[in-house]
Amino acid sequence: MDTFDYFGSVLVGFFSFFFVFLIAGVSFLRERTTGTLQKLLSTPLRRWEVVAGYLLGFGLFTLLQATLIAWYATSVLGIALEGSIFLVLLMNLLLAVTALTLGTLMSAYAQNEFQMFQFIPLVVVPQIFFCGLIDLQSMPEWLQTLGRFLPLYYGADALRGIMLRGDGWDRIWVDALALLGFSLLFATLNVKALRKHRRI
Amino acid sequence: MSGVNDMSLSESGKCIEVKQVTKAFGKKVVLNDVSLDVKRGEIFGLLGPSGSGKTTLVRLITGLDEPGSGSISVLGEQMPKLGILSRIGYMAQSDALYGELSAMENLQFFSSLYGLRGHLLKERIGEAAELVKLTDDLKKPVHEFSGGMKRRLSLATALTHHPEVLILDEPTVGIDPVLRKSVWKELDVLREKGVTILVTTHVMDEAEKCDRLAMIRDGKVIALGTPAQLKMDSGSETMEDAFVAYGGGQA
Ligand SMILES: Nc1ncnc2c1ncn2[C@@H]1O[C@H](COP(=O)(O)OP(=O)(O)O)[C@@H](O)[C@H]1O
Ligand SMILES: [Mg+2]
Repeated sequence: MDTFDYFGSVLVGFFSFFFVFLIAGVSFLRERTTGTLQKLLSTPLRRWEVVAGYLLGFGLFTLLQATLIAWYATSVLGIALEGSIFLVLLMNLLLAVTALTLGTLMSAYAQNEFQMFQFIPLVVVPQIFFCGLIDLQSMPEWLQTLGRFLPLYYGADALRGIMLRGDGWDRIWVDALALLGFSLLFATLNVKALRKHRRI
Repeated sequence: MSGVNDMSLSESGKCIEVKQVTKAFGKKVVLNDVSLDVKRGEIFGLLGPSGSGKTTLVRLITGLDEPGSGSISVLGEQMPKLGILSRIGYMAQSDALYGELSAMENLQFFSSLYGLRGHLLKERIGEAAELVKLTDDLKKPVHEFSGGMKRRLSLATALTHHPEVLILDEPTVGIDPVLRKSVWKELDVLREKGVTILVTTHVMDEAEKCDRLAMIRDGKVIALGTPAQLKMDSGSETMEDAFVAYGGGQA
């Protein structure tokens, strides 16, 4: 198998994840440091509406980004694409939404933008190891199990399948479901984390 | 602005009730057994030096934080309460605005959170912008605004939904004296229309313009009454002297 194609397919997912994680995290953090979050919570807006609004707003932007990355990877870089571009887009989008919810969640624990960048080695780097760039077979079993808890593991698995082997929906739906689960979990935690700023 | 409905005019005439409120951050006690009432339709001032606990108190009243002990009710409801928030206009001490957006876009966004749409939204924004004298600057991005302009825009974002209660945290900081005067004149106009206004300040001469005020120092209310009363009871000529006389020290 072509190594370039192999790494390339995974990197497509990685970039989707990485950029959205940072951008969403930093902008949600800025809501807090500039006081606009307080202002939002002084209105009758519900906490889940704040989180949902972020999802919707960034979702649009994210869709655009996912399309751009997928197009660039396959058309310009010439990374193999055996399967459907729409499935690639879908997985990219799901990865980005996961990154979005995780980024905003992590920003609740950062005091400033610099600390947000400090989360990179904590949150993003481990995912590179577990998303298939490194051969997992040689790792101890407990480490392999750990990988199952990282979103990028599922994203990379699906993207590899679609792009290299031409996998269809029947083979990737578990990955898609996992990412959806992560997003829901992170979004829920996000709504909970906002309690710190207004109980109701 | 007539946001007042008769249903909410309870017999007590009290709009905000703060009862024996204590609040600490960690070991630091920031509010110590604070009690006060704000009557409907009055301008009530919270006067105290920086760090005395004014912001903490108005945040508790708005429901953005909760007291350690004691109780707070607004318009007859225990705070925090989501349903009351649409009847409150809150202006924080820091200007919570989106710098990338224009003044108009900021107003549209925040007003829409109160459910304002279409024609009414336009009308209310025009009215609020007129009030704070920003009509000609609505198209400008907020990051080009001066400190005083941001302050006035913040005030405008708290007005468009015609709140019955206005909670303003140091609304005139950084505003030049002429405009400051005009802001206070507008507060008077709002009061005439029945709006209850709670305003914090560390400026002594502003306190004179309130109907009643509470002097607050180190988290305690050291005096409460009308400006004239407070001056007379302490035998002081000025508000500043009165503050010192009540044990406030140099503000
Ligand atoms: N979130 C917080 N955590 C710890 N201390 C705080 C917090 N908010 C306010 N304080 C402290 O409470 C005191 C009163 O602050 P504040 O209410 O902002 O006073 P004012 O608005 O009168 O200047 C200050 O000493 C401040 O440092
Ligand atoms: Mg303050």
